[in-house]
Amino acid sequence: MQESLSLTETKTWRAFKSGDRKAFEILLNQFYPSLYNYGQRLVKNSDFAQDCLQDFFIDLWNRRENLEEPQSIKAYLVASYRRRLFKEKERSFWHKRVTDLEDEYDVEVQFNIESYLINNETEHETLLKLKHHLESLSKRQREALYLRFYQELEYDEISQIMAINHHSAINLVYESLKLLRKNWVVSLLFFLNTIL
Amino acid sequence: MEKYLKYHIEDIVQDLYFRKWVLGKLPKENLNWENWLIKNPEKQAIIEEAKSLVIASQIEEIEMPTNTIQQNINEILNHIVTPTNPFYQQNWFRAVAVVLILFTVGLVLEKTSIVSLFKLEKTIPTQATETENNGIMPLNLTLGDGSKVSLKKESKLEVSTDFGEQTRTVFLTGEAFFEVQKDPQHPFLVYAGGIVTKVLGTSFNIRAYNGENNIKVAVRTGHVTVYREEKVGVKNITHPEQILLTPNQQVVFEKKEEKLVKTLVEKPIIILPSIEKKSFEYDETPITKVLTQLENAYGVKIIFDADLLANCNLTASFSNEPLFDKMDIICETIYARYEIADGQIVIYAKGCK
Repeated sequence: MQESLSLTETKTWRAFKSGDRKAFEILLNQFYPSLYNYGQRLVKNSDFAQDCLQDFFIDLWNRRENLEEPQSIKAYLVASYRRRLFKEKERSFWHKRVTDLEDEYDVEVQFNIESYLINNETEHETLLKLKHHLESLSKRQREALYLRFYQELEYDEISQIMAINHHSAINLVYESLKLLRKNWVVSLLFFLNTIL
Repeated sequence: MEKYLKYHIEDIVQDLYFRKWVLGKLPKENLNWENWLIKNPEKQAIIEEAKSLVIASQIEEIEMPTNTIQQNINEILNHIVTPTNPFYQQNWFRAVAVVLILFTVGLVLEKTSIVSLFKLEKTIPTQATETENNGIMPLNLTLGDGSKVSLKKESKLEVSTDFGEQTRTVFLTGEAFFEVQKDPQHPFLVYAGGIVTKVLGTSFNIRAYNGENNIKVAVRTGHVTVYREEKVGVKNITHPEQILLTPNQQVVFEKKEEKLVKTLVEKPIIILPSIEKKSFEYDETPITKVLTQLENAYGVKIIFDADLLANCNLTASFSNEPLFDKMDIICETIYARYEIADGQIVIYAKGCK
């Protein structure tokens, strides 16, 4: 018998809150890479994302006593870091209206197959169509797919991070999957059999 | 793996276990999916389609410079200020304090006899005020310290005359629900049918009818200690066996065997008010996460093997059904069973594939 991961996570979180450096180091080693990856994808300027992440964690330490105990530490950290990125960005683009900001954000989420198509300059008609459909996925759809498949998060975590409701989070993923399925699969089966 | 028979293609694509298989992350000797396909050949087409979707929607890696990441982490750690303990928390101060206290105690003990010190603790008051409830409705009482007692039918509560001096001692026959005011300096003691329940401030229920074979102490909030009352004439300076109870736990005292057994109350209640409003909705949620959430909501320890349950998921929505109904549903879906032992829920599972 052993304790579940989330139980030890909760313990680490509590220790961190009470000022335990070691616990903070554990949290850093566990979550820094994921947040780094996410930040690099959300902002084109990679130094900006990195600086933001440094400040974010130092701030987290300074505010530790006032922090809540989240259901999911990962989702909590990703969501707070995302908010901070947008807020910092807003500050540096102060002349722009706030409402533009979400439209302004980048989502650097590419699919392996996309780059394969680009690198090989494949010109088969069905594959061109495929590429077109890939490009037609919205930023939010890409972000949701990234959080679901790359970061392997649950829907309630995704909805918390993207500040949308549970149902919208599910829809973003399902709709993109349906779109891909409708347009891709026939060509893909053919495609995969020829290249893989 | 039976659940996959009902899955739509979009669900299969999102299933972690399936994705691991497609992306070659399962151990080679694991042939569960291959075997499943042999057993369910009609699923071949849908699995092929799901496979190509997983491969196609695989997200491209970006550069992750390990050195930079490690450097950044170290930089953060160098940047943060560790709180320095105030002087009274530092070791040298504690050491000095302990020596001083021992010295003082030594002085006091020399002047007073040891016997009289222990006697003080054991004095059980004889003169007491008494309240009896002969009606059917519970009788609500407020004690001198503000603690509330709901005295159930055919029950009697005596409050000792020195209530509030050293301790807050009461004697109960029958059943009562206590909401005790916090006062760590004056422990609240309930003597009932041979056992003593000691609390500092909390709420709990005691059922100790003379005609019944056992006595039950059930905790609603806070912590409660229960131990056997020392028999008159038996001088026992070391502390008797004490049982610590947390919310939703109860102790049963078998009068014949004089044995204290720790278990759970029949209907555990949710102790976190924030979760009370939230329903328990699960959509392919890892079972370990579900169990941890229930554990926190009810404050009841659930023991399970996280590795064994790693592949178990739950899709269900719970509302107000009792905790044990929820446990029944969970165990049915993951082919497991549970037992209650020592006030905890222990899950015996075979794991999911």
